Amino acid sequence: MSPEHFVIIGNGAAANRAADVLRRGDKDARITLISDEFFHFYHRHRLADFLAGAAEADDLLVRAPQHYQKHRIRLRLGQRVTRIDPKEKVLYLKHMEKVRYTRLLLCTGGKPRLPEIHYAYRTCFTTVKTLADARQLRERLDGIRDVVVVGGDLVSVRLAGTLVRLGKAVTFLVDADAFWPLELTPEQRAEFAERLTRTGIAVRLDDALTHVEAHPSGGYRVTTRAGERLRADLVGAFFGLVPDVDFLLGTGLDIDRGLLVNEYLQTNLPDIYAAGDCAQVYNPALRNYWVSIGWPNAEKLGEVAARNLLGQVQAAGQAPVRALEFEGIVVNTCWWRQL
Amino acid sequence: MRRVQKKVSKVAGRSPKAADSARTAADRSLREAVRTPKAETRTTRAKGRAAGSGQTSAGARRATQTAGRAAKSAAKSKAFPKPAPVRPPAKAVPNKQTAAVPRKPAPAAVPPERPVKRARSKTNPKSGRTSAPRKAAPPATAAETAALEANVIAVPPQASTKTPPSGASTQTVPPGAPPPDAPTAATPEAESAVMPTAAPPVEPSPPAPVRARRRAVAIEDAREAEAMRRPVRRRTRRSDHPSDFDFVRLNVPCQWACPVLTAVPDYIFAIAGGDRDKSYLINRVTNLFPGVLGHVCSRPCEAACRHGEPDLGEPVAICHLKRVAADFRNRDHPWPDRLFPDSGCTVGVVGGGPAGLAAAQLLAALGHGVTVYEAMPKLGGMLMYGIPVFRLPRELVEAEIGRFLDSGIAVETGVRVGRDVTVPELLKRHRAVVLATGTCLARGLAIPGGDLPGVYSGLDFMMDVNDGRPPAVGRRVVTIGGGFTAHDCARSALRLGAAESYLCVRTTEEDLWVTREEVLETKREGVRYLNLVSSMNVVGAERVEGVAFVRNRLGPVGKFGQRTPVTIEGSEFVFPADTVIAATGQYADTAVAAAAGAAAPRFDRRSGACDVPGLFAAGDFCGGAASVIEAMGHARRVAQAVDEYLTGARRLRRVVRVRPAADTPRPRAWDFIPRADMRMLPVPQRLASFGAVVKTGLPAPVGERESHRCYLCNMKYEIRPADCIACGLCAAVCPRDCIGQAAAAGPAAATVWTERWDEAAAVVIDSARCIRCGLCFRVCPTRCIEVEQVEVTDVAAGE
Ligand SMILES: Cc1cc2nc3c(=O)[nH]c(=O)nc-3n(C[C@H](O)[C@H](O)[C@H](O)COP(=O)(O)OP(=O)(O)OC[C@H]3O[C@@H](n4cnc5c(N)ncnc54)[C@H](O)[C@@H]3O)c2cc1C
Ligand SMILES: Cc1cc2nc3c(=O)[nH]c(=O)nc-3n(C[C@H](O)[C@H](O)[C@H](O)COP(=O)(O)OP(=O)(O)OC[C@H]3O[C@@H](n4cnc5c(N)ncnc54)[C@H](O)[C@@H]3O)c2cc1C
Ligand code: SF4
Ligand code: SF4
Ligand code: SF4
Repeated sequence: MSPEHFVIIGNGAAANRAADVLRRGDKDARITLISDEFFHFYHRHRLADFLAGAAEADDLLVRAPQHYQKHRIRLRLGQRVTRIDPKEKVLYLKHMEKVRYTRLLLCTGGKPRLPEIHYAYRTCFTTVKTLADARQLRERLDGIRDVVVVGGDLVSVRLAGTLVRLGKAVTFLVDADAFWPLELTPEQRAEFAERLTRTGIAVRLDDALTHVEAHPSGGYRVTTRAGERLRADLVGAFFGLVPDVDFLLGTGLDIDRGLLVNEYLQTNLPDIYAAGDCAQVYNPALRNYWVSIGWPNAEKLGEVAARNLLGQVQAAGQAPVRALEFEGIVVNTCWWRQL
Repeated sequence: MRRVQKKVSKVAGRSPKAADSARTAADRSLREAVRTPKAETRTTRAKGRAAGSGQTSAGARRATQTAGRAAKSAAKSKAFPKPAPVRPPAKAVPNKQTAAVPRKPAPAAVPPERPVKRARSKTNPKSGRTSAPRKAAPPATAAETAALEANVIAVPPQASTKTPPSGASTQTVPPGAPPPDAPTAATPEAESAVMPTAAPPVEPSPPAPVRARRRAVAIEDAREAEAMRRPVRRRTRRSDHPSDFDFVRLNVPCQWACPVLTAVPDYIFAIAGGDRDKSYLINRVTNLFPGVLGHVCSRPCEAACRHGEPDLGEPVAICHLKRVAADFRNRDHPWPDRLFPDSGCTVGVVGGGPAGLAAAQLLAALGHGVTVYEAMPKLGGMLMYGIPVFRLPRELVEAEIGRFLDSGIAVETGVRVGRDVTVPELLKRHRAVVLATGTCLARGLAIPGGDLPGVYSGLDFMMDVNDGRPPAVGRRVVTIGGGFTAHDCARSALRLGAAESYLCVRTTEEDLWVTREEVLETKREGVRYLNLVSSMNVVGAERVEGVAFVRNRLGPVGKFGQRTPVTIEGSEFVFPADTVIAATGQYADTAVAAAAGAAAPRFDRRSGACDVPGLFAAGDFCGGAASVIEAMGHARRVAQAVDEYLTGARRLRRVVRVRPAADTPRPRAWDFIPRADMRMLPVPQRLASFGAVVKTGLPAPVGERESHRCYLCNMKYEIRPADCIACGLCAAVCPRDCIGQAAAAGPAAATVWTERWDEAAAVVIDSARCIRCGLCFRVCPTRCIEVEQVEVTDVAAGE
């Protein structure tokens, strides 16, 4: 019998943990990781350091690339999966290559969230999710003087701090719902604003962006709700992450916000599992679905998924340490609390 | 495609030695051109597309639905009756717009008035700016319709500087001329697709490698051969062959998806040429209310649009363009004249909603005397009393209905059939009666607590709001349901002062019937979605305090292609609420029809007929709540069935008109224009005033730019196999890898593609994938690629 071919889409925390567990559990299986990023597995939370020049790309690496050779894990970098054919058990890559699998694990992670209210301005915003994004931004840094930051996830705070230290003039618009999915009380917001101000950031408390447009001579013009008009070379939008599953719509997979999976991280289609930021897991204790956005949970789910793929039945476990409900889904927010 | 099939054997059995030598050289290049990665995907592509790969959100589901519908309609077209003898061509092709026998003489005032009106049309009524029509305003009535009829693709002014002057019917790109708009290497698609052989190697530069020179010789030979075999003059033909309908189904997806078969590419092209009046008129051939639908259409066409296929970007903003045509048109277009003389029959239409009015218009055009009975004081149905003002301004509805009223159709408003007059009485008064009373009864919340104070039914809520008597809403409003009505209720609630508005749907956003744009705007206004929940009961002692829900997971695919919810045991929870709006569906009041016989008659969905002779049903009344355009499409079919009942003959014939066309006037760069976003009113302004219209429209220049995005899929690039030397140049330049080798070519979908050279019988263009860029046409050395334009229309068949 030919061995199993486990294919994992993604090369983040969930995917790597899953690959390791699979290798430990099955010495003969073929294991393939496919990621559309060109770089090896790295620490995303250190992207701010990279931007500041405090770390180089290699410093972000989680592990040496040799790891994969040693454990006979095939790594396909820079290859985007565009389509899945679950009946034929085939993946299609962007360059039209087909990859067959026997069991598939989706660890496609998250993508920057863009609130609907700002949808019309999507082309004006800069977000940072990947090393490639950070690289691009780092190259642009010299030409940037004024920065406007909207949103309020952990990334925004770190990046704003970094940019101020690099000598940029940073204006931070802090609105009531800026800390999605956390809802801060007015006092908490004021305290937060106070702390930001101390680092040299110009904070506009309880103000929000109402309009942005690119200026013909370069840069952007931002209008705020209070009527202030700001000039910016960069408008950073940081509203957290949401599951990145758009390319899977229409494959027959159950999708709501993320990939709907049961406690065993099984999707509705046979032999397809999901883990990490992209999964929306039903949790009986919560009586609700939840999406876990965060590194530790991604690793944990990756491990659980791998065990289930290997045939050992394991449930995804307890309710998250700290969870918040938003639009009917619960988001795990343990890392937002490091504010 | 039919032709391809016939001639395959010819290609396969072609023997002359010239062809032989051409082939050896060509062999290699075609093999190169249809190299493995491209070819490999070809076999699987059809499947992939069927699976609706990568479409987003509602698009994917709708696409499958449309496919289902299309398949059904195709079956129908195959069963299409044999054509009645065509009338002599001199008699001009009549369609809804041509005057056959006008009932009344056209108002004499029209011609002298025209110039004045035209002058007015030049000023953009919205912005007050002059919109500088590129072309003269449309000619009056007969001439105008003739022009519409002879709606030959004309080169729009922008493009004319780029393309060589082209005659109306023959290919005029000089042989070997460089493609006028060859892709620049900068475009990502072009980069990957253009192979070294791409430039037309008419005269290779001296140090060309042997292979290239050999190929050049082969091409020269072929060109000579072609010169001796001048193509037969092509002419316009009308066809009702199933394969031609099949072509339209697969190749002009937008038109086929439209329930009234709007000639989408034609009207978009008219906008590209700056002629919004013509565009409006093309729309109105089959659609009474282009302006209204430009605001609220459910857009099955956009879900099907080729531009929205994976890797091609987003669908063309077909609906917004309809609105551009309506916004910037001359306001006084003549009403379409009649197709047939007075039949002496009268028909009563009950209900003045979109379905009733569409049926009335077509019946009148067919020569019958029509009376519309409407219960409310104004015509329009849900357009007037259901859809909120912030989505559809009433002046527009009244203006478009006003044109309808001018047409001489009798209208009796304030007459409730069943109360003021009964259906049997109407059947005595008229030869036939069409019931188009819509779905006026709200389903309500059939769960415990559904009758507590603070619970409203969605339809009643909207009707009250539109009547100017908005019900009081609490701080936290929970709307149950996911259709148009539910969305409008949730959005209205915010405008009426609710601080929080939730929309509770049983499955996911992917399964909603409303457009993605509507969902986005709803969210933008602050409505929050609670997905995957089913309501169990309303909680509260005196009045509403909350709703008890249970969570769902997605179950099997239901009847209409949507997912069914399956409750998860032990997942009940209570969601606090001050006001609950149940927008869980509407149904028809069949009691109206019941009066006609003992029991409520059963209506056939297709023809609208029932076992009471002369009684028909149309629109939502017949098929359940749907959308404006579906109701109108259905009503048009029913009107034809009524006509057949009255005259005993099928007098409108659906045909595909195929006419020779010039190469596309679109430069390739237009394929990369991003979709234009609709201009929207800022949210605070929307919430401040109930009547503030949310979508403010596309400015004319933006609309024109958007119209450039349309590939004009009604064009048809087809290889004439007899003249093809299989050199593969076309495949090499094609940006979308839609040219390949076929082992057996057949009608449209039946082509058998092959990766093996020895099995190949012909080089064939997969029109269902082709984006009509014209690159293949321009590069083909033997000029064996033909360009035609296809269009489905209904024409009068005999008298
Ligand atoms: C700037 C930043 C800072 C963060 N800081 C913290 C922090 O301090 N603490 C914390 O707990 N969490 C933090 N996070 C979140 C954390 O990084 C994620 O939760 C975690 O990486 C999730 O891992 P994952 O494996 O689910 O997905 P990801 O790490 O997102 O990986 C998904 C991978 O799938 C690939 N992929 C997606 N679609 C395709 C496709 N179609 N074809 C091929 N490949 C595809 C992507 O390229 C990506 O490589 C941060 C995130 C960011 C962006
Ligand atoms: C709130 C709401 C929002 C909607 N939004 C959209 C949208 O954005 N896009 C879209 O495509 N569709 C939308 N729809 C659906 C669309 O309005 C209907 O599908 C369409 O109007 C159906 O047309 P109809 O002519 O069959 O019925 P109706 O429009 O319901 O017309 C029926 C007419 O019959 C009259 N009538 C009823 N009973 C009698 C009687 N006994 N005697 C005489 N006259 C009678 C009624 O007064 C009414 O004028 C919406 C519906 C609602 C309720
Ligand atoms: S590109 Fe134009 S013709 Fe083609 S499907 Fe879209 S709207 Fe229709
Ligand atoms: S259609 Fe023209 S370019 Fe294409 S293979 Fe045939 S001869 Fe060559
Ligand atoms: S017109 Fe169609 S077949 Fe010809 S090159 Fe363009 S996309 Fe390909």
